[in-house]
Amino acid sequence: MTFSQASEPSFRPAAMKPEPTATRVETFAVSGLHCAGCMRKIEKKLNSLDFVTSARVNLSKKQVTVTWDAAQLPEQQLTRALSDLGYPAKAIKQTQDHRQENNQLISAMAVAGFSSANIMLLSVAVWSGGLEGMGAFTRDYFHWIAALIAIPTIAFSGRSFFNSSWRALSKRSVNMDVPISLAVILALVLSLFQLANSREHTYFDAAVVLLFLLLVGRVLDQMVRRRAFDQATNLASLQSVVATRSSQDGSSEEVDVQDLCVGECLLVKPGDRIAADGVVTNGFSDIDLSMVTGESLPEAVDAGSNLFAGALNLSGVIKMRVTAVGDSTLLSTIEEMMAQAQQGRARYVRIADKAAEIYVPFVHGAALLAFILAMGLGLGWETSLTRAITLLIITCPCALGLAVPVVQVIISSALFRKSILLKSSDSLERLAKVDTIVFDKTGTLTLIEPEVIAPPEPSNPVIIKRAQQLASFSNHPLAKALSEDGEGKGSFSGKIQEFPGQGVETSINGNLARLGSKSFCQVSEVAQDDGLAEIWYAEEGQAPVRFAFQQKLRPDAENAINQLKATGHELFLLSGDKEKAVENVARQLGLSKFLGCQTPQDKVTFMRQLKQEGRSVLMVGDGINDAAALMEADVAMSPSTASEVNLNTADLLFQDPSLLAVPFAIEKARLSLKLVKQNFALAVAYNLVAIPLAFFGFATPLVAAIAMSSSSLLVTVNALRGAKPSAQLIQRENEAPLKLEAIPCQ
Amino acid sequence: MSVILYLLPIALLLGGLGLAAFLWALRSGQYNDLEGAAWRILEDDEDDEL
Repeated sequence: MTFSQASEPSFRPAAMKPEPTATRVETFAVSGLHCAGCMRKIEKKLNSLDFVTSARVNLSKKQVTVTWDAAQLPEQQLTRALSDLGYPAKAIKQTQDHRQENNQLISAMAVAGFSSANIMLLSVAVWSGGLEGMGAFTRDYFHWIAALIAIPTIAFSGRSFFNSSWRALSKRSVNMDVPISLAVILALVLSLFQLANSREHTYFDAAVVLLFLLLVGRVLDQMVRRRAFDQATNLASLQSVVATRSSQDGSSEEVDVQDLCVGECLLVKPGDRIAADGVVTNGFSDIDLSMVTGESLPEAVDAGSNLFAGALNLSGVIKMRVTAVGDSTLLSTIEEMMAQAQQGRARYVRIADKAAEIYVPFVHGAALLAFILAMGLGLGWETSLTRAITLLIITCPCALGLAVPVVQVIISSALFRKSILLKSSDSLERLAKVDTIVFDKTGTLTLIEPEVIAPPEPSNPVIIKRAQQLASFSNHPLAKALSEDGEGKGSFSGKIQEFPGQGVETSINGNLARLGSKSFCQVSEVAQDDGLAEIWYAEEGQAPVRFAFQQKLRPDAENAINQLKATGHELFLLSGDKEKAVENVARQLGLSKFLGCQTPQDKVTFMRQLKQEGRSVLMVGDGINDAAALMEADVAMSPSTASEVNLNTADLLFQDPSLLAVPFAIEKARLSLKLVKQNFALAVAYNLVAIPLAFFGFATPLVAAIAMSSSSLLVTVNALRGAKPSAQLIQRENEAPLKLEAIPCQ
Repeated sequence: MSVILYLLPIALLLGGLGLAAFLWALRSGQYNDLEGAAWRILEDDEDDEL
C-alpha cells in the first residue's frame, strides 16, 4: 500500500473487472450521508458494481467521487443504486477551478509564511549584531541569504496581487492591490540596491511579512466562502429533477431533464416534480404550484390542464406531453428577467474598493511629495527614495486589506453556527444597509404544510372523527393535515376508493360518505368566501361539514417580524397567492402592507419601484416566481427548502425552519459593518500618525514594517469582538392598531 | 563561526523540504476530506476476511 493518492481506489484485484473503455469521473452530492457507516455502505455498494473502477466518499463534503465506464453503465444506474440504498444522489456539474484557486492561495500563504519566518530570524540576528558588533561580511552574507529567499517568494506568493493590480491598472482604475504591489516591488528593488552596495539596511523582511499577513486574510476569506458554496451546491444539485419518459409500448425510463424534447410523453408519479412545461394527456391529480406561482392551494388537474416545470405532483399518476423545453419555458423567462436584474446589482461598489479609490491616490501623492521635498532639501536621491518607500510601506493598506476579510470571516462563522450560509462576500455590507424588507408568503413566512383552523360549528364529534379517519386514506396534503388532527387511521367496513383530484369515498352503514372537494361532495350550500383552502365531508343523511385550512406559519415568524419592526425596517408582504389568503397571513403577523396576486413580473416592478424611492431592499423568498425579484433586490435571502434557481441566486440561505434567522443575520451584518468602519478608522488614525513620521524621515523602513504589522494585529483583535454572542434581541409588543392597505387584484 | 556559512543553507534546505512536503500533500488532495480519513482507519480491509 502506498500513500500516493488520497483518492486511492479500493484494493480489489484489477483483473476481476473488465477493462474500462470510456472512463468518466464524476462527483455526486449525496443526501443523508453523515457517518462512517454510510460512507462504508456507499463505497462497498458502488465498488461492487461492474464497470466501476473506484468510488470514494468525501465525508466532510457529503459527496462521492466515482470513476466508471460510462459506455457500459449509464449515470442513472449509479444514482439509482445510491437511492436504492437510501441515499438520493445527484451529479454535481462543477469546475475544478475553485479547488485549484484555493490550493494556489494556500500554497502562496505557506511559502510566504515559511520565508517570512526565516527572513525574520536572519533579520533579528542582524539587528542584534548591530548592537553587539557584527562583521560586515557576516551581515552581507545574511542579507544575501535573505535576498535568495525573498526573490522567489515574492515572485510566487505575490502573483495574485500583481495580477489583480495589473488588471485594475489596465482598466484605468485602482484597487487595494496597487499600493500593495508597488510597496512590495519597491522595497525589493531598494533592498537589492542596498545589498549590491553592501549597505547596512535591507527591507526583505518587511516585503515578505506584508505579503504573508495579507495572504492570511485572503485564505480565511476564501475558506469561509468555499464552505458556503459547497453546501449550496449540494442543496441545489439534490433538488434538480430526473424525468420519467414513457414510451408507446408502456415501458418507461429515467432521463435527464436536459435531454427532453417537445412532444415527448412523460409519466409523473405522486411526489415527483414536473420536469418541463406541458399539458396533461391522461389522469387526474392535484398539483402544488406553490414553488411556481406562490399559490398555496393545490390545483386539481385533468386531461388538457397546463403544467409548469417545478410544480409538485401530489396525488395521482398523470401522463403529460412536453410543450416547451429550454428557452421557451416559464423558468427560462424568469431566468431572463434575472439576467437583467443581475446587471443592476453588479453596480454595487464594495466599501473596500471605495476606500481604495480615495486612499491610493492620496498615498501615492504623499510618497511622491516626500521624494520631491527631500530632493529639494538636497538630501540626495537615495535618502529621498528611501523616504518615499518608507512612506509606502508604512501606509501600506495591510490594515485596510485585513479590515474587511477578517471581520467577514468572523461574522460568517457566527452565521454558520446558526445554520445561515453566507454565499457572497459583499452581501454583509449590503444587508447592513437594508431599510426595507419584502417577504414572500408561501414557503417563506409560512411552511408548505397546511393546518386545520378550528373544528367547524356546529360540530358533531362523531362525524368529525369519521372525516378525520377517512382523511387518513388520502395522500392529499389537506387530507393529511386533517388526519393528523385526529387519532390516526380508522377502519371502515366499506371499500375505500380514492379519486385523484377529487376526494375519497367509502360507505358507512350502507350510507355513501365522501371527503373531498365541494363539487365531489355535491354540496350546494353557499359558504362565505374567506379565501381559505377547504375540504368537505358529506355523509348521506347528515349535514355536510366544511373544514377550512390555513398554512402553518414558520416558527417564530411573529417574533421575527416584531424584531424587524423594532429595528426600524419597513416590511412588505408580496405574494402570488389570492388576496384573501395573503390578508389572513398579514393580519396574523401584523404586517400592514401586503399585495396579493403578484406575477413574477409584478414583483420585479414592485422591487424596482422601491429601489427608485432610494430604499435598500432585502427580499426573502423561496419560489421560482420570486427568483427575478430576489435578483432585483439589493440582498436576497432564501430558506434552504427553496427552489434550485433560488439556492443559486440568494446571497444568504437559512437552514433552520425558524424565521428568526432574518433578524439575526441583519443584526450580525450591522455589527460587521460597524466593525469594518472601526477598523478603517483605526487604520486611518494610525496613518495620520505614521505618515508625518515617514514624511520627514523619522521612521526607517524597518520601524515602518513593525508599525504596519502591529496595526494589522490591532485590526484583527478588533474584528474578533464580532465573535461574541449577540446582545439579547428586543421583543416588543405591537402597540399600534393595524391599518390594512390592500390593493385589489387586477 | 565560519560553520554558519554552511549550516544556514543546510537548515534552510531542511525547512524547505518540509515546505515542499506540505505543498505536495496539499496538491495531491490529502486535505480534501479531513473527517472521512479519521473513520476510514477503523474499517477492516475486505482482504482481511480471507
